[in-house]
Amino acid sequence: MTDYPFSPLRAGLFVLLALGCMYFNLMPIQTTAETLVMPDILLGLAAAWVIRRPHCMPLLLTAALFLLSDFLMYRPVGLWAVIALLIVEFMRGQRDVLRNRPFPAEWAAFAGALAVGLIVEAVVLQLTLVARPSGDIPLQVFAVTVVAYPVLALLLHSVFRVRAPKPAERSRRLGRVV
Amino acid sequence: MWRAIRRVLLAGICLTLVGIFVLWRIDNPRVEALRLSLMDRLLPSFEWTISPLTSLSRMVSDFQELDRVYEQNRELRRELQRMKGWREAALQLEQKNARLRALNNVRLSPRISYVSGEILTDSGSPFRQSALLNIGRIDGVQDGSATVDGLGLVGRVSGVGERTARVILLTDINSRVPVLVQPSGQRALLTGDNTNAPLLEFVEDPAQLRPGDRVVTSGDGGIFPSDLLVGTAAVGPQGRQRVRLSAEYKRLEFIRVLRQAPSETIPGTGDLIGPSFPLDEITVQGAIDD
Repeated sequence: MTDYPFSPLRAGLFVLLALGCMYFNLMPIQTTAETLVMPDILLGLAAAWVIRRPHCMPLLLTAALFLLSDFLMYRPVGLWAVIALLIVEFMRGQRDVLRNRPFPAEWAAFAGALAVGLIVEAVVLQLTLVARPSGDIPLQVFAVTVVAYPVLALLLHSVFRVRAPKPAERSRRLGRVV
Repeated sequence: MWRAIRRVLLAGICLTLVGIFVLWRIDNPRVEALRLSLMDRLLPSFEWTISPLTSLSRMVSDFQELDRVYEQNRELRRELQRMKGWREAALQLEQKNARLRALNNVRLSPRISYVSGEILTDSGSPFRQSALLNIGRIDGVQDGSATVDGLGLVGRVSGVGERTARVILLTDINSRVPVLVQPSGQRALLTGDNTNAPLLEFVEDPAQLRPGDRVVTSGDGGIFPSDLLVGTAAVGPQGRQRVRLSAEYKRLEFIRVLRQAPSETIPGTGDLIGPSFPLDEITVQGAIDD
């Protein structure tokens, strides 16, 4: 294991930040239609976090938070939660590769996963005949969320000190194991 | 070992979530009720954050307007001058109206009472246009009530919790309101499509519709009271009939929920008026035979 172990304090911080994200999206500042689309910062936060501290994000907790956000934001209940959870799991699986690459690789991986997720969501909603407004809103969601991702990652890195184990630290540990 | 357990857990959670989605699709009202009770439980605790937030956003928008204060001031003066003229006209009309009413002995419909609430949250999603109010069943809010701001119709209450109520705004894709276009008196359906100016559909004769016509609720269907101001008719970019809403959606903060006393219905057609006739002998005979 090269990752930091589970710490309840960090997990608590994650829950707090996730609730903050939901509140940020719910703030009553966009009551008109056709305003700027807000990014899905909860997903961005979870994806950026899972690469840095995967063990502070238990599966059940993450799923519960995504489900709660589905409930609070008037989305079709459960669908986006399962897609977001799979995106996060994908990022979790790729973390060892992504940590050794520069940040743009991580960013691109997130953008790709998000694009696939949004397409799957659109297709499923189309198949289950859920009414959606026509237009390019999913495209806008994609754009603003991808743009917001580096900001979230920077925020996690510098303000909340959520960082991946340093390469030096890893190699030392590895050496000890060997 | 741990990894295998984890994989099973992940599969289980995903299946549960998909199951919830299917349940939502099949038994929508029950899940929506769950959603509402959840919000009812959670969101009123955030109420204290609203007033600093709205004052902050207002400060920002005020600051944006600061640079055109001079221009605005002149504009307002000119408008005030015009308004004074209109006020005079309105006062005269009101007096005239009152006199005519007294002559006619007209009884107006019982006044609609209302309860005001503050917006707690918006929908949080770009796909939905709704708002959550901080008043609910204990304040006498009913499902389906009309909501207005100071100027015009805002939306319809859809979902009432104990302390919160959800309002579907007219701009939401699920919003349908029967309206009347004045002065031509045509009925139409106001259909939201996630833009700021909802569509006007099923107009009887679109040729009679002119931009700038007043659009009011018609009261058809018995859910909304009639003659609530909705907005003015306009033509959209693609030549479709739309309505520019009167309610100030940009600065929605307080919303009135109308409490309409149920109007009396007239059951059936009238009976014959006159002295009660003796029963027809033939039918009485028939009844005895049976």
